[in-house]
Amino acid sequence: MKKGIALITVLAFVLILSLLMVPLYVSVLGMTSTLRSIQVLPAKHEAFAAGLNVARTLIVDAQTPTTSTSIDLAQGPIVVTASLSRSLESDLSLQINCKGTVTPVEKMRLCSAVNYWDVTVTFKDAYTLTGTAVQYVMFQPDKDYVYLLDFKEGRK
Amino acid sequence: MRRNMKGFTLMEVVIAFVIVAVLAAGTLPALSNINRQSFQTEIDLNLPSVGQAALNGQVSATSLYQELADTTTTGAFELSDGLTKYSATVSSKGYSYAIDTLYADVGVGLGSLGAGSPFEEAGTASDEDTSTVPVIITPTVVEPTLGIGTLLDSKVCSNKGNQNGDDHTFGPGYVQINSKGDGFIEYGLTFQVQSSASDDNYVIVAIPGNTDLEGDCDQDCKGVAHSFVAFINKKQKSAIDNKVCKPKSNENGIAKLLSTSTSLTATEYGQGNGGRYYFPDGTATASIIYKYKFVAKIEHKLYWSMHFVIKFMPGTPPENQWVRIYIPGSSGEVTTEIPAVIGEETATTTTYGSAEIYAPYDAPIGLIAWDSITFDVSENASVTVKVGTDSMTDPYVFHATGPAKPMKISLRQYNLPPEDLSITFYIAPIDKTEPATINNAQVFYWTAAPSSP
Repeated sequence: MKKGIALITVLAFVLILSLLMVPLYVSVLGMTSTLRSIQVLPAKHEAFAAGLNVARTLIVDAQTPTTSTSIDLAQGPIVVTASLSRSLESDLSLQINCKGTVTPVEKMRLCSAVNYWDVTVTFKDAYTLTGTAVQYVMFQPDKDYVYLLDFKEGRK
Repeated sequence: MRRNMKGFTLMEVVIAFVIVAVLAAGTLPALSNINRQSFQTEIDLNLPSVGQAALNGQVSATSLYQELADTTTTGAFELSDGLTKYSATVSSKGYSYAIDTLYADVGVGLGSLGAGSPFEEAGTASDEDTSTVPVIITPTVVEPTLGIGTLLDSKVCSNKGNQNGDDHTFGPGYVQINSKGDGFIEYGLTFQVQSSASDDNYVIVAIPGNTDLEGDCDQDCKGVAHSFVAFINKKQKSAIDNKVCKPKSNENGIAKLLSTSTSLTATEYGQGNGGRYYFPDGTATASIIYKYKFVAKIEHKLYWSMHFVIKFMPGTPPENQWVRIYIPGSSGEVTTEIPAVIGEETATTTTYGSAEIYAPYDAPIGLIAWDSITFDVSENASVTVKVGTDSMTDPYVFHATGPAKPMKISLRQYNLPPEDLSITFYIAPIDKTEPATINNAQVFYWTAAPSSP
């Protein structure tokens, strides 16, 4: 009888110890996961920053209402897509037609416009950054202003 | 007496301590390295941040990690489309991490301005060219000396493209075929030459210089349906009647182009000396008369016919859609004026040319930033403004059309260097018959506030 009670006591003791180990295990798992994500943060942030710069060049050089490119970085590939969503004063076709005006200044465009673009930057096919870019079409193509607005990660 | 044996002997305790000491000794190497390993783990964990910091030039903030890491390298690579790639590779104890970023040299953000106040007026720029250029030729008097012709018959040849039909009217020494406003003439005329002894019978064709070939006559005019005149001559009038609207290139029509008032020569197409003479491919803004002078080698063929197929350029006003055939009268002379295209008066017009005005502007003392340029633009003006400074190789260009008073170009957003400003105005009239001017050009800038006494 005494042996039986002793066995149950030992089992209970082991069980209690096991239960006490669960939060410890969960904590260790959480710490590991946090450390990994912290380590990825610089790569992701730099990829997104690079993607936004790519978006600027894409929009300035856009010949069609939708444009996209993919660039390999050391930390992984980024895919940048920009699509024209709205235009004021002009439209993209007019803007394109305006290129090549020769006189009195080469490449001058005789039109102005404000174009709104939807921009998506995807990093490693896993992380996505979306937002809006506003393009002020100037009279010289390389003088366009592109402002990036309201970018958020993971927004559909 | 019974001896109580509870507890451990000293020997047992010593043995136990020895055993524990031996076991503990085994962990000493691991314990001695735990600090180092922990630190290395921390370094490895932070290598991405070190790389990112290196990319962004934040060396001082992460100097500790940078010193502990084995290598840190950065490099710049020019990609296409104005992108520059910066790379950093960081490694420590066999663990390596690489990170890249891209920078675009376009679409930079707004700059900021300091406080300042006054402005100074720049010069006034204007341009006007009032040179007078005649655009319609003076009526011409033509006086041929031979021949007598009588119009015997006329015929509208086709309804194809000839929606309103054609008709003809007479004037002194000429017969005029009118398109009646549909831009198309297909008409046949038959007349008699009384004297067949000479081959110097003339006919003069006057037509506004706005005929449309709708084709290419560089090699030959095969396949070009218009605009031309074809000649036929026969001994009998009846032989002409069924040919006038459908002459073939090998018909025995004989005519020769002697002269023309334009450098654009008529192209001949057809066999021998017959066939068609094409009019030049004109322009819609016709303002010149083309005069053709043919001689028909009549010989003994007293009846001859002219077949006109003419399409006028789109936009040709109805009053310019005609062709005149001057037939010498009984005196052997044509003494009439071949008219100008519109009316019979010489007209002049005033044109205004474009101008380039260079306006350098010295940087004032205490200049903080250039603010804006304003100027007044008249109606009908197309103005292009090029703005730059001494150190800028690629100036900014702006374009404006009038009327506007004042027109303002804001320079603040471009953060121009605070140095001498170069402004070039290019002015051109939209309608060259009306003037175009700009004036009251002013430059606004920010300067440091004057110091208090």
